[in-house]
Amino acid sequence: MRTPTNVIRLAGVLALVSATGARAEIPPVLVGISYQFSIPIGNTYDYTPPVSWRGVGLEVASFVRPDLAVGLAFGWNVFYTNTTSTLNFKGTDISGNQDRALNVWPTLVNVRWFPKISTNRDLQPYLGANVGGYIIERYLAIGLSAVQETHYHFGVAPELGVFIQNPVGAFFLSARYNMAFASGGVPFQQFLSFNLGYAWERQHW
Amino acid sequence: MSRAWKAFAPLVLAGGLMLAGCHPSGAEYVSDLDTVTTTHDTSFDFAAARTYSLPDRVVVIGTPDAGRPAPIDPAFETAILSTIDNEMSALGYTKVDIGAGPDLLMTVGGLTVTNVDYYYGYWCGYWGWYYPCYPYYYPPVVGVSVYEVGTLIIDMAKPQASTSQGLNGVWTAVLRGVLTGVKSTDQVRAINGISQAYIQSSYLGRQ
Repeated sequence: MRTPTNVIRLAGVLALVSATGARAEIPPVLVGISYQFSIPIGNTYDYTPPVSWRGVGLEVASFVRPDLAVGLAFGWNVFYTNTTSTLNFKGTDISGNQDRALNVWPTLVNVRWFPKISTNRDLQPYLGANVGGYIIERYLAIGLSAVQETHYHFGVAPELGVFIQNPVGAFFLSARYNMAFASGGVPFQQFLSFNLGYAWERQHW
Repeated sequence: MSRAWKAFAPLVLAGGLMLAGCHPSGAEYVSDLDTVTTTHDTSFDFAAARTYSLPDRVVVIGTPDAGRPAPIDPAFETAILSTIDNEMSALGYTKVDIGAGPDLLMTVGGLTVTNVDYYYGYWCGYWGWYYPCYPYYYPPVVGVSVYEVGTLIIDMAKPQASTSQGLNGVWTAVLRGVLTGVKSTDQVRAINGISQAYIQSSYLGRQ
């Protein structure tokens, strides 16, 4: 294996905490949950600049080949800021204390490719592509007024990650570049989410 | 899935949901509710104007049928008008008397609305911890809260050849929440609001 990065080293330490000496194959179906933090980019950054530390994800993946899985990804990411910057609305400038929030619920289908990098799959990187919808609720409160609008955005999200397996499941780390196209007057939204989660095998549905 | 992870997974999910679901919001101080709104005529050339006029009074606009509104405190009124003068002077405009034919006519008005809220309840605040609330045992409580919300409106207009043509407004600033009747804070909030109105109107000025 190539020289691991700091992230992989950290993931390795996490894996050692729960792993024993046994090695497991990637199970045919995985269910995973994750904590997510996200870096806003572009219009998302303009609206809510701070990093979002509030996020959660639910993943389901089924292997159609030993190196290929298809699945679903659901999430909830919250971006929030308090600012006194000036808004421009239809030629009118408004300033004042503002609460701005974005609630983003990705609902994606995905495909993941797991290239074989060694004989065992204790440490298994993957490349993924997600496509689907983003439900985005945009909230703005200024003065005594508040506006909230919710739209469904079509979006895509390339993804890079790694599974660190142990006998009962696998830790996974991934970075997903979320891009939700403009909808309902809400412009193109982008954010890079980092997902730290745990996945386990699901035998029965 | 192992027993440990069966216990771990819901905790992670619940923790994540709680983190995701809550975000701090809401005003902590009454000044957090202040807003400054400005709008302007984009076709008007503010750099071409040289002079302006400003009355020496702030007109108070009252509620219809509520009698003559109380005037603004003279010191507060002076502070409002002098702040506007300072801002206009800093932008390169010269104050002249209205009879001298100014390029910009300015007016300042105040609008105060008194809000009255009534609430109605029963004595069960303390005993409600121990027993159900029995509304018929004790007389009901009627509470009243009164608060004022004030707005300062600054208008800038272009003079017309004839008074019958009225005035063409070219810039308006609306400062909400600065005439609440609390002298100690109103003045600071009004001065800050006026300054903010000019800060966010970068198109004003002689340059």
